[in-house]
Amino acid sequence: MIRKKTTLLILYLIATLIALVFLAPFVWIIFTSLKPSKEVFSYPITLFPHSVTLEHYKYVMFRMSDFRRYFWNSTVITGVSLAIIAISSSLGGYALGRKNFWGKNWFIVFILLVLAIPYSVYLIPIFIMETRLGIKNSYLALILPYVALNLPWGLFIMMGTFRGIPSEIEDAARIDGCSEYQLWSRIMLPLAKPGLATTIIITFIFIWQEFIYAVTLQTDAKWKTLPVGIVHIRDELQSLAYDNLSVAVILSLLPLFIVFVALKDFFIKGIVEGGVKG
Amino acid sequence: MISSRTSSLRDSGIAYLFLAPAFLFIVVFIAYPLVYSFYLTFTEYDFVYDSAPKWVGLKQYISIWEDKVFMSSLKNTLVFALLYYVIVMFFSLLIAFIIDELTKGQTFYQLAVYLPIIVPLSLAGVIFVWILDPTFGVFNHILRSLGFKSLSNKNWLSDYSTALPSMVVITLWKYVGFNVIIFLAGIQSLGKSIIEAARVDGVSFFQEKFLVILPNIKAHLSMASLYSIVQAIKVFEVPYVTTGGGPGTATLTLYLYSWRTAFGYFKMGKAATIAYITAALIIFFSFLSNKFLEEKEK
Repeated sequence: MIRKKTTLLILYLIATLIALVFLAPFVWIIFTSLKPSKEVFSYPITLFPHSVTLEHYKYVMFRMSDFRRYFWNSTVITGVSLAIIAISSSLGGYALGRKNFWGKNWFIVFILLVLAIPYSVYLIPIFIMETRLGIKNSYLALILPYVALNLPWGLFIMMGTFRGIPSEIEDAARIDGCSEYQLWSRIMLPLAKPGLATTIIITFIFIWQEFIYAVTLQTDAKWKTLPVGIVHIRDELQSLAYDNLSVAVILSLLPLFIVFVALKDFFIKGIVEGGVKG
Repeated sequence: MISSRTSSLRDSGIAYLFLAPAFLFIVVFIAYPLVYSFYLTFTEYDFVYDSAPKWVGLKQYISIWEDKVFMSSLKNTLVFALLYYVIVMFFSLLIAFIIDELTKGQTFYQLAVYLPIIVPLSLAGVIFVWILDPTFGVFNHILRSLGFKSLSNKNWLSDYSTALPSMVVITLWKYVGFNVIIFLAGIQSLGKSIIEAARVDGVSFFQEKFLVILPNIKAHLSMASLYSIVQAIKVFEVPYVTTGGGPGTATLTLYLYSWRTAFGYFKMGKAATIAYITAALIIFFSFLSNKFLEEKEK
């Protein structure tokens, strides 16, 4: 059954209007990044750039050392956290998905609860702990809590993935004399790759965007990550520096954009199968 | 019997070994902080001056209600949450219904609505401060060219009446796509037969959506509702970046107030109490949501 042509036309009109509204902030920030500074702060403002320049891109990429530093910090912190999450959630998810042991259900209930509790509850003790240990303002300062906070998510996805693998495969491997570790690394893990991809893209997006831990634990400008660093740049420059600022915003969204567009379906799967995130 | 018991014992041993790395992280950075900050709610602890927390019993839980700033941030959080929750649920449902109907180019429309998900809330704040700038902002420019003269001079983020609603709009922009993902998954998991049967009976667009589809995607409705409750109550980045909680305390939220109490004034006991009250609100509303939306059959 297909709807009437006019109904469909109206739906397309509304959908296009909605799409425009959602895309407009991106378009505006891209336009701003391409206008010469004089045009950015002309009044009345121009909607479309009258002349196009790449000077702000050159400035941010080659002369703004703070920005490069923040980008590098974000890359290291996200990369190392992702690696640890990938390994420990594919190990832990295997245990939760395919083994029976005492305390398993309690553990699952606990990680579900964790997903619903706001981050700030953990932040105060973690701040006190890291102050005492002297690890604030370091890569470790964020990697450790990021791994812990995103693990419940990863464990949950990997548990479901491993549980879905048919037990005939496991039985056949055991008859062939696989050790437990071989069974996990050679048979199970390759079959769990889609789950692992989901875990990695979801945690990538969460960690690259994280703000509240980063702003609290990295007080020294040297260690800031992009979401905090860009706000810091804005506050340092005091007033309107939106010509360069919009470039910085665009460049820091670029990795997220590429990953999201390339792996959108995995992300969707993770959101729908995941649960609730605090 | 014995052999199966030893093998299951061996099995749990292996399971513990596999779970150990994740378990360690969760105990040190989640379970312990959860307990410790609960303990802190019964203490007074000035992190700069005190060497250790002082036990004060229920004092924090009692005195917090006399704190005017707390009361105003509680009110702001609830107003924000209500506005945000109602709009985000309705809007994303509507958008999902519309996108589902499109015969061509669905991917483009989906991507347009999903794209803001990748923007960190803090950067969404930075972008919108620029868009809403009273002089150089594009929003007022558009209002001017559409002829809304009186509105076009407004400073949206520093006006008492518009600051909080503006923050709702920024948060909506970021998260609507999130819920659309869930609703679309629900709608598209339905068998075609239900909808076709309804259409043969000649139901209208809205009857089909709200009377036929909606009752059949309760699980997805419940999931989106839980996500939205969390998003509606843990409001931090947007006020931090756009208004700083102002003007006055007009956009100060519980989350931001708890953070400031802890890391601006270093009153850890009080800050932990506010954080726990915020958590309690989320859990309370999630519980309500479950009660109303959970599938009753089984």
